[in-house]
Parts: sequence; C-alpha cells; structure tokens
Amino acid sequence: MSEVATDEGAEEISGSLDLSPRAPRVARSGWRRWAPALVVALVMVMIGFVLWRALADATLVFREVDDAVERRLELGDDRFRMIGSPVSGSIQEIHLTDGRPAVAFAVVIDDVVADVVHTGGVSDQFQPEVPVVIDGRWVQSNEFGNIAQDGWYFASDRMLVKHDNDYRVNNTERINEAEERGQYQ
Amino acid sequence: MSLTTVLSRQNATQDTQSISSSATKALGWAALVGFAILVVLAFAWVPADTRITDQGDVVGQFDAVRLMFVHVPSAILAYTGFGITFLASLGYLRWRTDWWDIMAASAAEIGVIFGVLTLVTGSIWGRPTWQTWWEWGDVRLVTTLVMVLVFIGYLAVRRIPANAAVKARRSVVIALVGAANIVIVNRSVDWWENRTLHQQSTLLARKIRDETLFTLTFAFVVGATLFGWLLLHRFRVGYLERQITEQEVQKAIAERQAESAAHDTGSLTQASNPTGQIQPQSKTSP
Repeated sequence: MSEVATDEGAEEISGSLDLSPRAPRVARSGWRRWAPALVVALVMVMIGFVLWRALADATLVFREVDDAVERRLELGDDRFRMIGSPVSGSIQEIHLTDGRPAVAFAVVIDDVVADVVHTGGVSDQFQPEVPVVIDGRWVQSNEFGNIAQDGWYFASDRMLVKHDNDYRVNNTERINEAEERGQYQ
Repeated sequence: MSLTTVLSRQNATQDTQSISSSATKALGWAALVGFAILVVLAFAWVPADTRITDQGDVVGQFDAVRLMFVHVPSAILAYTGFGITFLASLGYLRWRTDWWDIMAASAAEIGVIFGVLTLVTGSIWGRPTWQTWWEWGDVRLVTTLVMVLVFIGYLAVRRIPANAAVKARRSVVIALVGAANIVIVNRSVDWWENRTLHQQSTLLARKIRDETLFTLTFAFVVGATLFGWLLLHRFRVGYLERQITEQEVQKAIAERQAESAAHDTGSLTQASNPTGQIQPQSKTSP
C-alpha cells in the first residue's frame, strides 16, 4: 500500500519538477579540466628528479684539507671534492709534461697544507684566502708539489669558489693604493 | 580601515571592476620610486666588495656583490609569502572562513614569484662568484628549488576542480608540509656547511659594511612595499573571484526555482482550468 503511495508521490513530483542533472552553463573543456592535475603530476615528477639528482650528488660532500690529507690512503684513487683556502704567494702557472697549461697552488685549513695541480677553468674569483672547492683525486708524485713537500698532490679539473660571508671593509688606505696602481677597477 | 571594510566598499562599487584604492596606489608608487632610489644606491653609492689581505692580495666579489640587493630581499620575501600561507592555513583550520583560504592562496602566489626570483638571481650571482650556474649536490640550492616546486604544486592543486571546502582542505595539507621546508632551507647553510657553496648569514654575523647594510635594509623596505602591494591586489582579486562564483551559484539556484515555480503554476492552472481558458494566476513565492 505504502509502496503504491510512494510511487504515486514520486510520479507527482517528477511530473512537476525536472530532476534530471543539467549540464553546466559554461562547461570546462577537457584540457582546462585536466591541466591542473597534469601540472601537479609534473611538479611531483620534478621534485622526484631534483631529489634523485641531489641524492646522487650527495656523496660529493666537501672534504676539508686536513680531513682529506688524513684519509689520503683510504681515499686512494677515489674522486672527491676538497675545500681549502689558497695560500697567498703559492699560485703559479705551470705546464704539464704533455704541454697542457695548469695552475699549481697550495690550499690550507687548520695549518694542514696540500699541493694542488688544477687543469680546468679558473674562476674569476679565484683568490688567495678565499676558499675553493676542487674536484679531483690524490696523485702520489713529487713532480709538481713544492709547498707541502709530502710527495702528493691533488689533481683537480673543476674548481668552484666558496665565498665567505664577510662584506666588511678593511685596509681602506691599501684599497685606495691598489686602485691607483690599477690592481683592480 | 580594515581590509574587510575596504573589500566591502570595493564590493559596493564593483561596477568599476577596479581592485585598487588610493592607499594601494600610493603603495604601488612608493614601491616604484623606492626601486628607482635603490638602483641609484646600489650602483652609484655602494662601493664594490673589495678587501686587501694582510699579504696585500686584493680579494672580494667586486661588482657581483650588487646582486645582493635583489637576491637577499627576494629570498626573505619568498619565506614571508610561504610563512603567511602557513599561518593563513592554520587560520583556515581554526575558523574555516574564505578570508583565510584566499589569504593563504594569495600569499603562496606572491611567495612563488619571489622564490623564482631568488633562484634566478642566485644562479646569475653564482656564475661569476662560484664559477657555476647550478650545483645539484648543493643543499641550499636544492632545498630552495624543492620549496618553490612544492608551492607551485600547491597552486596547481587549488586549480583542480572540486568543492571550495575540499580544495581548501587539500591546500592546507600541502601548505603545512611545504612550510616545514622553509626551516630546512634557511638553516641548511649551518646544518650542512660542507655540502653547500652558499655562504652563511652575513646579517646575523654582522659582517657587513655600513653603506651596504643601509642599502640592503632599504632594499628590504622596497621589497616589503612591493610584496604588500601585490598581496593586497591578489587578495582582492581572489575575493572578487569568490563573489562572482557565489553570485553565479545563487543565480543558477534562482533560475531553477523560477523554472520550478513556473512549472508548478502551469500544472495548477491546467488542473483548475482543464478547458484551457486563461484564468487569473495566484501569486506564488519563488
């Protein structure tokens, strides 16, 4: 009985009101509807890529000179990055036995010195006492090293400069004198 | 005058379709004039970064240091934008009003702009100073990139069609996760000193000369003015978008109700006048 009444009621309602879903007045095109989801997917892929690259390079922690010297035998032929400050007066242009130009210098941290022979590009900011990160490996030879005099040098082919956070002025008079000498513009 | 009041007034004069007011115009002009002054200070007043070591070597970043006046404020303002998004998301969780949701989204957009600017200027600065545009193994660079990508994702998620409340809830989750990265980005140079070329904080260490410090502070003020101007306008656009959406929904409901009422009236008329003769209609509520 009640079923009949319900059916009648439904009929009455459906007869008076159109309950069928209606298409939105301005329907979004397929592309506009899916574009944000694609962007989200793209962003997730990019984040994944960035993390993968970062983790792949995470082994390239900068070893400080003292640590690299201490672990020299352990490191063997492994390629790694070493950080240290170029010793003032040690920088000189040299030629390797095969005629290639190179830069030889010494780096120091906590009074531990290592000789470096660098064959890659040299940064404009390569300056004494401004820390450099050099990418390479240890070589046992007395051929080029002359500061540390320990029979080893670090053969690098990539140089990055790690500038410090000091922007204070010092030795103003000497800066003016250097400017007059044309030491820098 | 509160922002709500401003928006109410704005709403009252929506026919002009303007999102500016005399206050925001003044803010915009202040940012523009401030930027012009900043350019003069950065290039004409602040000396190049030059120091002479005790051994007499001339060292420093020279003219490259002038990028500091764009890069550092951009980074701080990116943090600020994402920080506001975080706080506004918490506000939404607490009060569940559109105001917090619109504020969170607006600040995220501005944060992304400044975040991208930070990455670009940092890369330009890195080339002459570090000898590299980008280093994948550098924690500061990578965490900053991830932070910006997360908030780009946040903005994209907000564009996925869904109920406004659902969108807001999804956004809150991403904002809270993304905000955690702000701390990591900021502290990375101290936590992983030997995994980044990026220097540690100069301001906290107070290793900066007077002219440079003044100009950097001025750059912060100009940047903050620009940030405020952008945020106010973006918030107003967001608010008007909500108003329009709401109006469209109300209009659609009213149309459906009118159609239904018309149908009811037609049925009643037909039932009471089977001959089809025209009868006076009774008043029906919408």
